[in-house]
Amino acid sequence: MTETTSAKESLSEFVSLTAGGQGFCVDIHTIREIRSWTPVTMLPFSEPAVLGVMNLRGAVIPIVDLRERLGLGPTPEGRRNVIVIVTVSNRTMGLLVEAVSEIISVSSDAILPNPTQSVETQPAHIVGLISQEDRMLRVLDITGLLPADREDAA
Amino acid sequence: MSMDTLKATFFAECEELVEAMTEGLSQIATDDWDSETVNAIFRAVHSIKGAAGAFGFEKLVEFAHKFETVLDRIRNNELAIDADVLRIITRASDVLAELVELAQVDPNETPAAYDPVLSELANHADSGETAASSDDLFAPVAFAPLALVIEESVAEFTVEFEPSAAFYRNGHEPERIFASLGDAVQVTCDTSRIPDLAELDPDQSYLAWSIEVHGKTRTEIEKAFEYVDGLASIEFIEKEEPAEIEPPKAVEKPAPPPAPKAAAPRPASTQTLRIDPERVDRLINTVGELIINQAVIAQKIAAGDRSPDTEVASALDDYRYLAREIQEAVMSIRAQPVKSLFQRMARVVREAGEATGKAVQFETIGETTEIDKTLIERLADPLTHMLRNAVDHGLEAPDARAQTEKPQTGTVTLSAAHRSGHVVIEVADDGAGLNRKRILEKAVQKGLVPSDAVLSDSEIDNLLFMPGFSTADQVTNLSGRGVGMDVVKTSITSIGGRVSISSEPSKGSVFTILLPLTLAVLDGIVISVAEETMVVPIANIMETIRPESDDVLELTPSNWVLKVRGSYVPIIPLAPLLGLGRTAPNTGPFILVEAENASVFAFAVNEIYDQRQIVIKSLEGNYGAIPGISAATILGDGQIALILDPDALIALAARESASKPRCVQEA
Amino acid sequence: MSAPVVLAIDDSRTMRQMVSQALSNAGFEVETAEDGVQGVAAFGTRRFDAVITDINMPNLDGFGVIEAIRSARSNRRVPVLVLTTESSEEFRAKARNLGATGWLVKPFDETGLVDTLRLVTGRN
Repeated sequence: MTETTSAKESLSEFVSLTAGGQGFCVDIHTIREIRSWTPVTMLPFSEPAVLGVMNLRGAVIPIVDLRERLGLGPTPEGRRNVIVIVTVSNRTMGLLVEAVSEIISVSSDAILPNPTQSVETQPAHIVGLISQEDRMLRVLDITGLLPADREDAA
Repeated sequence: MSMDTLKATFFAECEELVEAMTEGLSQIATDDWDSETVNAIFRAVHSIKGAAGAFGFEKLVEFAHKFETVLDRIRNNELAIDADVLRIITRASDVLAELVELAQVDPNETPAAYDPVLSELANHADSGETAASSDDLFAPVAFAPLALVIEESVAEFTVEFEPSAAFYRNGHEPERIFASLGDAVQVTCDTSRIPDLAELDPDQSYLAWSIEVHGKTRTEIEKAFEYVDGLASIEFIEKEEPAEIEPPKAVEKPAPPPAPKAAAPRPASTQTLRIDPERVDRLINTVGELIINQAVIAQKIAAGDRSPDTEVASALDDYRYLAREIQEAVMSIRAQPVKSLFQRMARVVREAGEATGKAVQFETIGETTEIDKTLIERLADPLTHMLRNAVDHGLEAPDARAQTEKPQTGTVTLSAAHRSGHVVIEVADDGAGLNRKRILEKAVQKGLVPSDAVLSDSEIDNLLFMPGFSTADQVTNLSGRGVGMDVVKTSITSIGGRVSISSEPSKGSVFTILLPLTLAVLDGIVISVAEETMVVPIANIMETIRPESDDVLELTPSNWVLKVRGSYVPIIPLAPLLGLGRTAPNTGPFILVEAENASVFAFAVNEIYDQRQIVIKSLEGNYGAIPGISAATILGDGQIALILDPDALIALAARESASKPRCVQEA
Repeated sequence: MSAPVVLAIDDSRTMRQMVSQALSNAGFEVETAEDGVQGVAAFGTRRFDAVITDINMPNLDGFGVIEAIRSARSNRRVPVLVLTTESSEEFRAKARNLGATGWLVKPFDETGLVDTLRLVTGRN
């Protein structure tokens, strides 16, 4: 009994999603909701991954193309494309992904460190790996995905 | 209700009291005062002291007490207000205001001026201090003198009690005293002195009591009679050891009947309602949404197939009208006179004068001008900086000033006024004016402008606002602090305002802040740039123009002008500037905007739609600042439109065109 | 017996709040007024079991309040307590001569205030 309890305590929940054909997952606590794609308003001088801003019940939130952000090229238009609304450090943004699949629970020991963290093409956004059945899910660090604070702001 | 709530009340109240105190002092300073002015200051300081004591803010109490003593002497005409006394009480009010601020963080903290000002106050408080020494101030409960009794035994007492008429008149009742002695009391009433009915004066006291008390100490019994001491003859007789007998006390002569009320009460002051600012914010936001909602409905009806129903249209007009009315009313809730802000600034100027050794007179105009409370709060920092600058850099050094015709004392003026839907705030000094030669040199030296640049006076003046520009040769302690006017500009821009300079050599400089009446909404013209819908604030727009084709002239491929009533206005095509398209729609339509330095530009856009009121939504919370864009709004169809910042766009265009020729040269 | 009703007159919002808090905790019903004029006006609106007044107030000071209350015969038996930072004997004597029932010096402690009120209202 005691064992079960302690195992439960170290369980983390993630939402698995697909971007650029690859499997990723995001800590469920950072996710506010999942919405279908709606046209966005373009922002001047933004990095290519920032698609624009969207009206989320009166709030203006930026939408980031996750695939582009990870250096995998722009997400092609697709019927299953959805926007995952996430909030980290008091900032809210939407991530455009190809699909959202499921909620998974894993114990913290099942999250392996990312051995390729030094590889340039995929920098610090991936903070861990989860082996799920026959595939590998990359654990995303959302904080690193926020649009960079613009220098011009200061 | 917790102690924290009480403290919050206290600090909120202190803010008002400090304001009242400062107000009174400024009246004295301008020689426009009477005895009530001093009374009001006294009361403010007194109230701060009274409540501060309850929280154990000893430093605050000590200071307020000394200050109050001096004010009391002034009030009683024992001390005349001369220049020296005025200076001391003004400094004291500054210290007191600072102490209040400090107490919110650490009540033991004192400002640097605490001790010197306290001792100056003490010098003037002399003969004024009579009864209360500061030691008394912390006596937990100082009732009428009451000896502390150690180890007292319970005894049988008889108290002979004969109240005077004053006893009754002061709200005392024999029964209440008996009741407070507990149950073990036996009371006998002596009615022998009641006269015949004809001679009976109902206001006189004829009864006497003999009270036998059991199981109480003398102190306990005395406590029951604590407040009637002097209003009655009280005699204690201890039964067992009648050694100590209280000498009988003389019955106090009844006081003469109260004189008719002399002081005519003044009419009650304006009733105020205290509201949690968050509630007002919510109301303002909701009203903003209501206005958007009206726009949505209007748009939906306009887009409908049916021919517009005149009744619906007029009802919709009413809706818009009502929504605007509500909005105005709601906005006025949050409107506040700038007075408190100006009073704080008086302190800033005084301190700046002291720090720089310059004699400064501070004048304010339009203190009653009302603006949104949130704007007032956000103006404090930039204004502080501007006023310090005005004293530090604006006014001449004393020896330099002595060589001019001007009075030795420099003047710094802070004014506020409403002007066509805006608030205009000006900081003016009568100093030497901007040294344009030096500013230009410095800008060149810092690489902010090319060395061969030919700039107009106003262009030079505006260099002050460029990031990284600082005029002082040595960064002074006062206005240096590593921030320049660019920070002022950024903070003003962030609240939707603009700041500009005008300066005249040897006459002085004026910094003008133009602010919207509120932060939450603005009037703008909806346009499209490339495919994107955007909004230009009406405040910046001079006019919109759909030109004849021969009014648009090409000077160079990247340099077009628009002919407007005989003069040529440079065209800024917005789409390429914002990176939204390469082809420049140079044919217009155009929006003529005035830049901060009064030069005019024509923004080439794709389409100009209607003018409407929009609710401002910040982009910075979730995204960050974007060059040329001040914020966003949500349009009737739910789409987001960006709000353009014309001044920033003009600067952006200037930077682009400045960089282009250089690129050519390098290539 | 219904809760005794006390009128607290003080121009300091903080003090009003403190007094109300202390007395409500002790089972008194409290009404407040912001200055002497308001206080005297409020006094006329209902029957109070006691009045607590500050001395230094705008429009009409505490002495004026005592005088105004005592000027009506029917009010003579209402206890009027003075709660002030003033502790001078001169002030105290003046208040008493005008008809003050008791005198408390700020800062007050809650028990002291409540005990005194109970004493002068005879509500134990």
